[in-house]
Amino acid sequence: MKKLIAVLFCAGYLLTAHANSTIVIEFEKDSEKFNEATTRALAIYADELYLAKGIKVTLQEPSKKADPKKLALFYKRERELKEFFKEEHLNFDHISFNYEVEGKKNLPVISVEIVSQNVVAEIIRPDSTFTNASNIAITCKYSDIELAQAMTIAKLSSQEELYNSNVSSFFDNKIIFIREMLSIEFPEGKLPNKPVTAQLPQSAEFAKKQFILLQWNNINKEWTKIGAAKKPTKGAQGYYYSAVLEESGLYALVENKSTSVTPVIAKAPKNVAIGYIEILSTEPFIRIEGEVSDNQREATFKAPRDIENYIIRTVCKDAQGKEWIEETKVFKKSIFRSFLNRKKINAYFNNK
Amino acid sequence: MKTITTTLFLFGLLLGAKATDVPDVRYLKFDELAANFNTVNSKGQMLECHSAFDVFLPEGKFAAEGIDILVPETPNVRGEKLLFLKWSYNEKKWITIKGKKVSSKTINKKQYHLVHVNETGVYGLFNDDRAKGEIKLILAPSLRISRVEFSQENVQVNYEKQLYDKPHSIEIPFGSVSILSEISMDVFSKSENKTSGYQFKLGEIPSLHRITSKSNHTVVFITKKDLARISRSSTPQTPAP
Repeated sequence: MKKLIAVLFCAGYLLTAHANSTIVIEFEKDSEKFNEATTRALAIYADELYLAKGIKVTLQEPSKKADPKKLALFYKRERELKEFFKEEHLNFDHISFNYEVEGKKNLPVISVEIVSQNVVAEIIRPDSTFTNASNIAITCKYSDIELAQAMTIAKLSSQEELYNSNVSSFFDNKIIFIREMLSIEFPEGKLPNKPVTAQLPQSAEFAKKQFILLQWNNINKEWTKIGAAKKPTKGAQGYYYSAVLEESGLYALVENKSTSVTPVIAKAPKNVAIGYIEILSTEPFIRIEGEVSDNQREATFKAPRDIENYIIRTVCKDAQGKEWIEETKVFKKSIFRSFLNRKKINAYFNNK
Repeated sequence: MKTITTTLFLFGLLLGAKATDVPDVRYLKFDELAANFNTVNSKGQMLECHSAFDVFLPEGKFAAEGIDILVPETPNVRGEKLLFLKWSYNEKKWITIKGKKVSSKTINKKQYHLVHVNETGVYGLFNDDRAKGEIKLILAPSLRISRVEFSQENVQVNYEKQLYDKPHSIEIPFGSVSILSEISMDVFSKSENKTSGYQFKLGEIPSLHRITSKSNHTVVFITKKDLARISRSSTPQTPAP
């Protein structure tokens, strides 16, 4: 492989041929511009660049908070480099521009590398970290900044909000304890190009607890696990959980512990059909849908073994088309009592 | 006959759709499925319909290559197995298509059943779990059944039969009956020498007249009084002899 390196000093430019196919453009001082001498030095390699299968340009970009003069100079140099490529009729389809955060030691401001393999034109920028409009610390790709900036994260906290969200508290054959329920919306239904990391603040009392992030799949009506269980990490302003988000939807931050379940069968009287059935508990929030049998006379569901009390809410229907909701309180060890108390309830229960 | 009329109407829609060059896939709601088709296979077994759709493929690329249809899996049902069948207008039954199987696909973490279709027609995905049990409807001795239709929406089953020998009982090959099952029947009364149509929900028959065994065999005795009480009569659809 033909290898070549040129280091150009803009002031008194110096060219060094080296066993590497990289042309490095170095600026000694921030005040120096991409001047004629630089262009002339680069022009030496114009043929090499023109024939190259791929060109990888790496730019050390000053931070957005840097001196405006320094920033302006950087963008001027960047623009002039692109002008040079244009004048030399280089194929931009074979050039990738990689932007890195300035500050890495021993790296030139701009390096132009001739690579032996085909390069697909792309602009690669470093991840950006900022606080978005919802006051959430975000880390995302440069191309997703605008989207992440407008992304909203609403915490559903009331029982009503939790209930209306229609999610289940059943996951992986276990009952889960939902610590936080979040409605996350990227604007206009758009999706980020790469996952966005949102740092969700957590109180110190949960610092040692492991959490998992779940996303509600509204088509399959089930939770999907996002990443592995992890503890909140300590940041400058307290603890936070790093949630990796790819799309809008309902997310739950769940404690990585669960309660075991016991199967229960609910039976309706002979003249009543069960249309829908669910278990509800307010503290902790639990909502599990039961499975109604084909003949609509009974339903099976998984009830929490350790929860003291919960209610079974049933949508009942009779042959005359009348529909009503039955709520049956179920206390621990009192399922049999509910079974006896038929007059008050239209759904009664057998522990199995 | 309503079935033929509506089916022709559907054909008309399909012919109209031929003016376009794009395939059209339309889900059939249960009302439409029950009105125009049934859920019985070529062996006469009742099938629970997961989903049915009307597919139109225009001439050209789509007809040659076919299209893939994705149907969401039923929530919280692991390893759901479905049969992919095509409606036969000649046999008026759902028939198997050689070489067509249901595969699965995950897109954005969501699970779908995937089927490939390369012909215009009506297709259905059915639970690969034949309904067990039966329901037997027995009428008072002076009454005869000349047509029966049974539908249960929650499991999407439909059965329709013309009974030329006019028996006074009929067995429908479905056992998991709900009180919300719809029964439509044409009943011939010997004493009145006329056929009347009745439409009612199973739960409208007194529970004492409905006996279900543990093995899902239900026997329903329907008296003259019951029919008189069920005022919601329908127009008889039994063809004239």
